[in-house]
Amino acid sequence: VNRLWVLAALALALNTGCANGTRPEIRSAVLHTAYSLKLADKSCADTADALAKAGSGKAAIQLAESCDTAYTNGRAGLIAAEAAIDAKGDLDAGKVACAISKSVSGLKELVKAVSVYAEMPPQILDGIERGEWLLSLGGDCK
Amino acid sequence: MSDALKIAELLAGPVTDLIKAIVDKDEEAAERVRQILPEQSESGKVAAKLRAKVQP
Repeated sequence: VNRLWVLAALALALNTGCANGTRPEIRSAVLHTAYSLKLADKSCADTADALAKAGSGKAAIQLAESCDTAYTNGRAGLIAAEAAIDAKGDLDAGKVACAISKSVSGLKELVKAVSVYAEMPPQILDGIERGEWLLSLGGDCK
Repeated sequence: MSDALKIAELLAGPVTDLIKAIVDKDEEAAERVRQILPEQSESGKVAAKLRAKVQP
């Protein structure tokens, strides 16, 4: 019975660790989200180029501009999230979550814009998932 | 297979390894995000190029 209690306590501790996220887990998720944003931006640029070559210049400019805005917003959030991870003292996962919310929105906007014209690589969707996990860490964003 | 999928396939292995190496060392204040994401986006460059073509 004692062994069972120890196992149960261990499982609970491990589970709590996962729910809160350790510094390496959070850093990994931020970097994966950053790579996804980079990949989505490249995908958007290629798609806009292809559209322009096909004669849809106006649509190409609109697509590229909306991706650029989403990228700028997403990048700003990721830089803020990384700064929150690197801040001295205990890691404030809530602060990371607040910072990343702009990035996840930016990445989703970018994916939505490109998906009209092209298939998105699974790595980008993986980045969104990791970003959403960071969001789930919560925090008071006011 | 689209160009984006090919890029993703090429990036998948090295990127995962790179991130694992960074995370394992728990590097701090390395500004990795700025290294991954330059200030000027690729889509921004394309937008600027296409706008320049449209303008007389």
